[in-house]
Amino acid sequence: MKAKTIVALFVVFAVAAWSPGAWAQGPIKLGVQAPQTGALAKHGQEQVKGIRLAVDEFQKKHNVQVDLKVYDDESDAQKAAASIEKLAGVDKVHAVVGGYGSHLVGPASEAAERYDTPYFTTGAVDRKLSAKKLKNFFRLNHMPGYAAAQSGAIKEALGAKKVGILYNSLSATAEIAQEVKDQLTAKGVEVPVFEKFEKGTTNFKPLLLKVKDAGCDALLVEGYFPDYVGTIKDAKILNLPVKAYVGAWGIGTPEFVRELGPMSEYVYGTSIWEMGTAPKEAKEEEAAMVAAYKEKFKEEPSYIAMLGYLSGKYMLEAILKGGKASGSYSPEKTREALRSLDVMSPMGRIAFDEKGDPKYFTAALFQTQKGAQVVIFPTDRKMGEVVYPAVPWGAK
Amino acid sequence: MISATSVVQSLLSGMAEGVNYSLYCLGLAFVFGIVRIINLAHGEFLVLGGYIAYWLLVKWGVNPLLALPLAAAMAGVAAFVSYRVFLQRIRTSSELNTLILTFGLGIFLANLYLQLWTADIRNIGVDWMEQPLSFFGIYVSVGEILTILISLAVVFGLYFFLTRSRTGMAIRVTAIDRDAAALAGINVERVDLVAFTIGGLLAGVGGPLLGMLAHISPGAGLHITVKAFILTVLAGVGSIPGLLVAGMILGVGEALTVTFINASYRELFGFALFIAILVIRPSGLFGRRL
Repeated sequence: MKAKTIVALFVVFAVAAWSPGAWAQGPIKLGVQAPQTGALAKHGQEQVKGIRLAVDEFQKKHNVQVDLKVYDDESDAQKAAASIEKLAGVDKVHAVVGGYGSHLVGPASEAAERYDTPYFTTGAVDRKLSAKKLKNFFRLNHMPGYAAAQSGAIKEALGAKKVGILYNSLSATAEIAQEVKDQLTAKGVEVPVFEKFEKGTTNFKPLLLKVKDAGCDALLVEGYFPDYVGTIKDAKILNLPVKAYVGAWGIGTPEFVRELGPMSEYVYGTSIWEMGTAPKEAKEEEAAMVAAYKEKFKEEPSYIAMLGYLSGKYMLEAILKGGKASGSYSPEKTREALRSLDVMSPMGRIAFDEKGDPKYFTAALFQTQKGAQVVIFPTDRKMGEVVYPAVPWGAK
Repeated sequence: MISATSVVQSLLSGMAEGVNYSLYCLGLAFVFGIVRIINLAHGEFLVLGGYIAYWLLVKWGVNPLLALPLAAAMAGVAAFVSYRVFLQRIRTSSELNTLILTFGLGIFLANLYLQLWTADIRNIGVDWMEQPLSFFGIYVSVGEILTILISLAVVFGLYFFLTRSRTGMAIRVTAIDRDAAALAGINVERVDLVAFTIGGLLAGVGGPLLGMLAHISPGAGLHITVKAFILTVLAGVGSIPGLLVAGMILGVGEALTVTFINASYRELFGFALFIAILVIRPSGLFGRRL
């Protein structure tokens, strides 16, 4: 009788232990690899803030503990890969989010693949990343969406005939420059100046003079924050006679406006999200996110923070969904859950193709007007009228 | 088709950039020439000067040019403390140790700035200094003219300090023959400390100008240090006026490379020149002892 009781108890405990619910309620280990120091620190820090907010909300909503581990890759490719090795190999996280810059995400996503750990990034748009067809790789944004917003707006909203393109030699900016050039040429827009510059360039005048001599209507700079500061300052000194200044990404942010003041006025930039641009189905989510973010961090969220938030949110949901179905948090089930995702978010509809690229991603082009980002393209997301011709330095 | 005006404008921009390069590298060249320390934290001292000027402008609206003395003083204090606390202890050991130590110090300072002032890129912008002036179709800003004048004043000021003042002469004697200087009664340890502090002061002057012409960020120092090192080798150790000429060769060469060839060859020009000088004239273009 005693032996039978012990066996029965063992069976009860064993069944309970192996039931899906019991496993799925354990803590989720989420890894974050992002630059917190170095050249890309600004973007990485915003990204992590968004992820932290997503974790807070997830814990409240599902009553599931999330063990968040954040590693700084120091804006360095080797350290990005090493961060993943530590997260996946030592900490045994269930998935990784973060990553900023295609040159960092490349080695990091390959390391994640070696450890069979789902990797979800929001800061890498290089086509080559998804061309590798890594089964664990997912991203919210990619190159064609950005390029289409720029070339579409230049042709349709501005009606420019000649465009000068200057681009940073880093992989993502070099790739988008080529993509935009191809798209513009296909639309019948001339690109007489197409020049690469190295990171750290401070004297942009010789390059800008080429744009001037070619008689370009618009100047397109595919670069990063320091490149925009340098080109705008030098364009002002030269009184560069173009009608529009377009930047790739990271331009027109609140920090940009704060630092450049009136020199930020009228610049164009691509954005995935600005406050008020969410589709009507996601307006409520947008408002809730912004309110929670402002309460937690005492500042407005940038689109990079929004991307971080969404990646954290969807990755955690996928881990939990996969865990519930399988009885454990497995990489395979997490991947399946991500692949089956099809939702309307503040940045539009989100679903992934077989390479982990977003199926429906489109960026918008905004113009900074009185310090605010006014979306002017595409027309269905338009928030105001374009001011053209107009450049920060007031040339014709 | 490149217009003649554009060529002249490009040439001018290269000269202006070159003069600024000279100022940025002055502290590193000076310390290397006197104390024989390749200060890899030089760029971080410069960035500190930039932050001082930035915050004075943002908080109290102080013009960055008026902030120059304080920016220089703060960077000088940072150099003084660094020397007394760290470098003085290892001066007698291998020169490689000072190289590694200053490299580490640079990383420490960059990360300290990151914690103190975040990763945001800072722009020192004063409207009237950014206004362009036009001369026969050639544009130059008020700020550029002022920074060129300041750079020239600092370079020649240092030159006269070294050749005309007693302290300057003591520094030169120490640089030429340390043992002979010590026998002549010069406190060479004190000279090292003074020289390193002056190196910091000179770097501090460059910071506000960098912030006005470009931008400052916690990680901006390394690029400045590399550029300064190239220029020091180009000019030749110990040649202060030579730095100006070397700076202009580099600045003008880079600008014309962009104008006539392609911007992607700009950095290549600098490094090619660096290697060529090392091979053809290892002592640098104007290499001589102080």
